Amino acid sequence: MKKLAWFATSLIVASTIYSVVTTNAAWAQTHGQHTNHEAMNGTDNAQRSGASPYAAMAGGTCQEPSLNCARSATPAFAPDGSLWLVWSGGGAVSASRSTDLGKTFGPRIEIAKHDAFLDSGPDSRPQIVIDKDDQIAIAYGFFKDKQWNAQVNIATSKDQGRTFSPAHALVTDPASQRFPNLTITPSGALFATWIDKRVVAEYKKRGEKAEGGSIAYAWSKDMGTSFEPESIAQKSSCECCRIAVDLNNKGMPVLLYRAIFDGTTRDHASQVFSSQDKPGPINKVADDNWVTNSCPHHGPTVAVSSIGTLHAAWFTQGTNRVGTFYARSTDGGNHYSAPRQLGSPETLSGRPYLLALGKNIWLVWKNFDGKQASILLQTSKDDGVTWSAPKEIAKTQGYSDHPLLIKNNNKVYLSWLTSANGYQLLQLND
Amino acid sequence: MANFGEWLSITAAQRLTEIELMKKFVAFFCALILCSSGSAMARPLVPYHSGDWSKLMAQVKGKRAIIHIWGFSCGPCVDELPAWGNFAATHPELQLTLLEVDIVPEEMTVKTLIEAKLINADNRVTVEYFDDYMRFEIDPKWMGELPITLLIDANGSVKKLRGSVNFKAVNEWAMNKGEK
Repeated sequence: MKKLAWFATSLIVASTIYSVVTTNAAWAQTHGQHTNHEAMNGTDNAQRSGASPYAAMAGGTCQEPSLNCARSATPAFAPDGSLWLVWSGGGAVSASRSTDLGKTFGPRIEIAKHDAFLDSGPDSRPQIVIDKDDQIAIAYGFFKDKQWNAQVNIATSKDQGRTFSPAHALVTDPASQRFPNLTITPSGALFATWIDKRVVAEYKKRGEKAEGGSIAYAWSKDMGTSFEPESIAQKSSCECCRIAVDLNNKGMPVLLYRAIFDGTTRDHASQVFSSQDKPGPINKVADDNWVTNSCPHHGPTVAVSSIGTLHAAWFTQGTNRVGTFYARSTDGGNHYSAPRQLGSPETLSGRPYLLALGKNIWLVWKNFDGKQASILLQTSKDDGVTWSAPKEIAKTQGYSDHPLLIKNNNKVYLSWLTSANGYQLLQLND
Repeated sequence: MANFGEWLSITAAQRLTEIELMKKFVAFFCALILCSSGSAMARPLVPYHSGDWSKLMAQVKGKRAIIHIWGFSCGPCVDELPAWGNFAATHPELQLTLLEVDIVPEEMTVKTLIEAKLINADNRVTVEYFDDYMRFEIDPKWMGELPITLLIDANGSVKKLRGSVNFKAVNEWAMNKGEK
């Protein structure tokens, strides 16, 4: 028996040594490559971004929560004209205030930190709104479990941003949610909409096939502290594209999103709320016929003029058209004009954004030629009947966020975060 | 410790019992070694970064191969992975490379790939934010939709499939040994 014990002990020792050696070899192979890669990464981006102080941070190694490392940033003006910015970067959602139109910012305020589980996908960004009483609401998504179910959280401030509540779930339903959008109506009500998976989860529970998500919404009378019961505006939508929202001249939300028609076709639809609990009919914006089961990661934009014209822009790869397009509706979304292409099919043109001020319309989008990204602007003074020629208003090398438009006191601005030039707020009108 | 002489002096029945026990120990520890080496030697995830696409294409030059680009931010991508696992088991002769484009904890990627039976595929995972530049290297007209699958023939011709694939068509491509 002693012989047997000796033999068994030898086997245990041998197997342990073998296991340790092979595991370490595999670890060293993987992590050694990571290290080399990270060292090279800074060089790559330095070349891209020239002498920029942000150059070394432009790639995947930038893990700080500071604005320098942010991947997306969303602005909002406070009643006193100061600019608030909320951004995601380094696994955190952060906010800061600027009193000089984005040239400098105050100390970073950390709203929440989820590290690698923060939803920082290509079309995902934190949201911020500020009401007339200087109350602030910030919403964002994060992945709440290891099955990649997400949750929309909200944090609020009742003291002009000096303190924020702990971030908490905006939605009560346990199913997954992503892509929140916050809008304040002239009456002070806070409208929240998001992509919601509860309908799909129910289908799957019954063993039925279901794709995508749903467009859900809720209202808050206390600036985000609580919301009224959640409702579904549209059962079948793409699950990975942002929702666009503007208010019409009655103060009701107008939604534009990538729907799923007939279970297969990811074309765009608009809905105009007739009252807070009536989302209105679902109208197709264009018959693009993009039949796909995929994540385009490319949501649309909508703006409503003072006389109620709906302006829409979106990206598609349908069989009927490919690229980024604009159309308008003068009958509340029942019919849309023929789509007009932005850029050309030969260029990477996308990420459109619209803003209406009276009957003046601003439309921007991003072009990328492999070396630099540029922002193109078109304007219309007659509610979208005629448009100026596209004009390049900004460009950068290195990482860049989607372009956004924001207005304050009849002034319109481009809001654009870039690695090479930092955050930019560019005034577009006099 | 019993010496060899003492061991020879015990009865044949005792020796038989010890030999059977030893056989069981040997079988047990061999299995233990195989298990531990199996997990430790699972094909490591290969970090992917800006500029790597041309290297990847050089590696598949002259071969029939499939490159499947997916991401955790894409529900249809994750849903489709087990089907790719079945495909990989059916076609071990084909090089299947998977490129994951969202930065997530490595443990999550490994867990997902094990569940999809794809842990031993050629898995590339981005370690940089997958930006306009990295997409442009792969396809100057790619705006970021996922998944995308490239069926590459030995003569270098590439068939691009956007969205979840029709596996019947991919199987037919895989079974067709000739170049199209």
